[in-house]
Amino acid sequence: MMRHLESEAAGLAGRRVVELGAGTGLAGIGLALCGAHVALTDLPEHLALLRINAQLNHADSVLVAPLAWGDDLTAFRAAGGDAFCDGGTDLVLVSDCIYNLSYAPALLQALRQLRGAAVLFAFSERNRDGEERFMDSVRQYYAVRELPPQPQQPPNMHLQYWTPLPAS
Amino acid sequence: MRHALLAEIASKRRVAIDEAQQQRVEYFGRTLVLQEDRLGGVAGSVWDCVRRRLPLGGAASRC
Repeated sequence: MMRHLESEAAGLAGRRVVELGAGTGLAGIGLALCGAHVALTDLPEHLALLRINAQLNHADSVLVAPLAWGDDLTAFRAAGGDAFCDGGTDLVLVSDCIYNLSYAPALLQALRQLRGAAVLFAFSERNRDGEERFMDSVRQYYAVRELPPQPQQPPNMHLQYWTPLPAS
Repeated sequence: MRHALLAEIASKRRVAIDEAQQQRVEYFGRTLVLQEDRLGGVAGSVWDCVRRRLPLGGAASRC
């Protein structure tokens, strides 16, 4: 995902980007430094790490906010995420977030709450049957396009671009 | 939720958990500094390590 974002960063300057399950925040912080308006989100207990990493990299414009998949967006809005809601997000980043497929339905719900946004989705194959079932659910709401592999991309890793279907 | 589950699994399997560490990575023509959490940063890699009973340290570098 990072190599793809490097090639797309210029076009994302000025756009609103949300990273779900951000972890260390690498992707979002990188895009913020390239001029995107970025919200790094994760569970409340992980926000301190995201704030540290934003500070370490002088990504002062980044919003760090809680967003627990399956919950509504109240906490996210309260933390300053209003501008990213109601169609305000251009792109959502999701990297390596379906290793435990029991959380996949909640993830899809969170994505749909950020309605209108395209999704850059990266995952490693771990459970093909389960991942296929998840992708069947995704295709009800998004057109899914597999992106060409980046140099040195592991063969079991997928990078996809999801575009919301008109009725979703 | 996710990390709590991983921590619980790691604990039950007695997998060593590294202390928090920083790593530097090169992206966007810059050197980015990342503080990792106790589990090694990238949850999916940690998940794989736990399932395969591999050491957790530096899991992020394998992503």
